[in-house]
Amino acid sequence: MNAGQRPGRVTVTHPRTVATSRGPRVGARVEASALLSDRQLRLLMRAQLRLSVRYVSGVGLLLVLVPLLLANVSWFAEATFGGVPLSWLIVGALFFPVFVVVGRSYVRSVERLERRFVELVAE
Amino acid sequence: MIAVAGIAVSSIAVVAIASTALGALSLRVSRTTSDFLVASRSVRPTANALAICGEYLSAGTFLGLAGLVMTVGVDMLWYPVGYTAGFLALLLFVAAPLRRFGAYTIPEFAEGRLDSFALRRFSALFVLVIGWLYLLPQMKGAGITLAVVTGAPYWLGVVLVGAIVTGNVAFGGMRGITFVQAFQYCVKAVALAVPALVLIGMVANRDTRVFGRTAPVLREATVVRLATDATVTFDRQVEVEYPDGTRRRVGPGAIPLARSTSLLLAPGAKTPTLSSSKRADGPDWERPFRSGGTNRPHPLYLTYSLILATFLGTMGLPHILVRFYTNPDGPGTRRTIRVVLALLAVYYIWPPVYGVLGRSWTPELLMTGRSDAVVLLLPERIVGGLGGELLTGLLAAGAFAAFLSTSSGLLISVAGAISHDLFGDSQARRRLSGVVRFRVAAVLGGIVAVSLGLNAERFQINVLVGWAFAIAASSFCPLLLLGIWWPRLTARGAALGMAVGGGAAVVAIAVVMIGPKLRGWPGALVAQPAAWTVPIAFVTAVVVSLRGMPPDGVTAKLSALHVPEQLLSRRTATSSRDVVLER
Repeated sequence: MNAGQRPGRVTVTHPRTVATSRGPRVGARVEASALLSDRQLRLLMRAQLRLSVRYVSGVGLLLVLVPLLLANVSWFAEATFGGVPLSWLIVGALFFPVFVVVGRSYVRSVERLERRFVELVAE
Repeated sequence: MIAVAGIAVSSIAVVAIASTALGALSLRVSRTTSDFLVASRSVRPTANALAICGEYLSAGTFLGLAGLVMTVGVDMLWYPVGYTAGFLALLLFVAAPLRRFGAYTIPEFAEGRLDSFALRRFSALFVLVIGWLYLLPQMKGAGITLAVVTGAPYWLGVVLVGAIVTGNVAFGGMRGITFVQAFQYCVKAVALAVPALVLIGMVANRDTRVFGRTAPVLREATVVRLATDATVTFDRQVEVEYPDGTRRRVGPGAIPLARSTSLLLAPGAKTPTLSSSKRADGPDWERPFRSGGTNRPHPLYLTYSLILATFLGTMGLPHILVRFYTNPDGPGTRRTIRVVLALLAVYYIWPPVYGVLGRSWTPELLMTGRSDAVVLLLPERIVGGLGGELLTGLLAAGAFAAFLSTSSGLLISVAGAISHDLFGDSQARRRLSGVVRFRVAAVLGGIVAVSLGLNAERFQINVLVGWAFAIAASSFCPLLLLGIWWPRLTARGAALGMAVGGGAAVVAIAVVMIGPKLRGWPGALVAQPAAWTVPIAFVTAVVVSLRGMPPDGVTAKLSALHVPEQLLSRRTATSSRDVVLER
C-alpha cells in the first residue's frame, strides 16, 4: 500500500488495480474459501441468518406492537406509575434493558453456533 | 440569556485543550495511513465500546433530544429507542461479517464485495452526504451553547468547534481519537447524569407536579422577542412592544405579529402558541401520538418511519462502522457491541429528564424556538447561584465533548471518503502521499461543515440527526444487508438501489429543509421518509440484481465474510505451511 509514496516508482498496471490492492484485505482471508465446500458454506450462512432473523423478529415485533398499543388502547396510554405516565416509562426506560438482554443472549447463541460448526467441520 | 461565562468558558476550554493534547500526544505513534484511519486495530473491546459511544453520542442526544421532548412530548422518546435498537441490528446482521471481511469503510466493502471501483466512488458520495448532514447539528449545537453561556454570537461557536475538530483530525488521526473518544464518553455521561440527579432532587423537594398539568405556565415575568413573523395565540391580554418602540395591550386570541416584536409576559400566564410551532399543549404533550396538532400530522406513521430509519440507519453511519475495525476479530466486534448497548442504556435515560423539567421551568423556550438550549438553562433556573453556574459549566463541557467527538469521527470519514475513494486514483494521488491527501481533504471537509453549520440555526438539532439516519438506512443498509447475506447481489443492483432509495430520501429531506411547506400526508411522508424509501431501495437492488450476473468468486467473498476465525486458526495450526505459502 505504500507503493504510491515512494518517488521514482512507475506503476505498470492500470491505476485502478492499485486502488484495489490498497483496498479490502480480502486476500488475508481468501484461504477461508478453501476450507469449506459450497454446501458447508451455505449451511453455515443459513444457520447464522436463521438465528439473526429469529432475534430480529422478536425485537421487530416489540417495536411494532408497543406503538400500536399506545395508540389504540387508552388505559395503556393513560396509566401512570408513581406520578409518571406509563408510556413515558416504557418508551423512555424499559426498552433499554430489553435490548441489553437480547444483545447478550444473541452473542452467546451465535458463539455457540459457530463453535459447534467448527467442531463439526473439523471432524 | 444571562451569561454565566467564567465557569462555563473555562470548563469548555478544559475539554477542548484536553482533547487536542491527547490527540497531539498520540501523533507520535501514528505513522501510516492505516494508523490514521483505524488505529491499526489494536484497541480492546471495552475501550473500543467506550470510544464508539463517545463518538456516537452527539449534540443530537445531549442537547437536541431534551428540546424535542420539551416541545413535542412523549413521541420523541422513540429517538433514543431507535438509536439503541440500531446497534442491535448492526450486531445481528453486519458487525462480525464485515470485520471478518477486512474492509475499512463502506466504500471499501462495496468495492471488495462487488469488484466495482465505480460503486466505491458512488458510495463515497453518500458518505459525504450523511457525514455533512450529521455534522450540521453538531455545528449548531456548538453555536448555541456558546451563545447561551457567554452571549457570544452564534457563528463564533460554529467556527471554534469547526477549527478545533479540523485541526485535530488533520494532525492527530484516529489513533489519537480512540483514547480521546473513550474519555469523551465519560465526560458526557457524567456531565448529563450528575446535574440531572441534582435537578430531580431539588424539584422533588419543591413538591411541583411536572406531569398532569394543563399547559406550561410562566414562573416569572419574561420578555420574548419574535425571531420571525408569526400568529401568536394568547390566553389573556398581553402587553406587546412593536419594533418601533410603541407598546399596546393585545389579546386574548390569535394575533398576527411582525418579527422583532417583543411580548412582555407576566408570571402566571400560559405560554402563548406560535402558529408555526409543533409544540403540543396541555395533556396532549404527555400522551402518545396526540402531540403536535395540525403541524405534526399522522404521528403514528412518523413514529414507525423514525423507528425504521434509526433501526436500519445506524449500520450505515460511516463514522461508526469504521470503528469496528479496531477490534481484533468478528467475535471481538460482537463483544464490543454488547458493551455498547449497556453504555447507551445508562446514557439515554437522562436527556428526557431535562425535557420534562424544561416544560415547567423554561417554558419561554417553547416560543423563542431555542428549545435546544433547555439542558443548559435549567440549572440556573432550578438551582441558581454558584451551584447553578457549576452545573451549567459541567453541562457545557459535556456538550462540547459531544460536538468534538462526533464531529471528529464524522470528519475522519468524510476526509477518508474524499482522499481515498473519490480521488483514490486521480492526479492528486500521484502528486500527494496518502497522509497529505487525507489532511487536505480534512481541511476541505471542515470548511464545508462550518459553512453549512452557519446556516443551520433554524433547524432542530435532533431532527437533523434523524434525517442523517434516514438517508443511511435508504442507501447503505441495502448495500450491507444484501451484500453480506445475498450471493446474487450485483454492483449494478447495489448502485441503483442506493441511487433510487437514498436519492429519494435526500430529495424528501431537501424539500423539508428548503422547499415549500407541505401539510397532511405529503408533509408526513417527506418529514420521515424512511418508511417508503427503504423498501424502494431494497426492491430496486433486488430486481436489478436478479436481471444481471453476480461477479465471479462470490463464494470466496462470502467465505471471507462468514467463516468463523476458529476454523482458520485450527487449520493454520495443522497446515501452517500452506497458509504461509498463500500469503
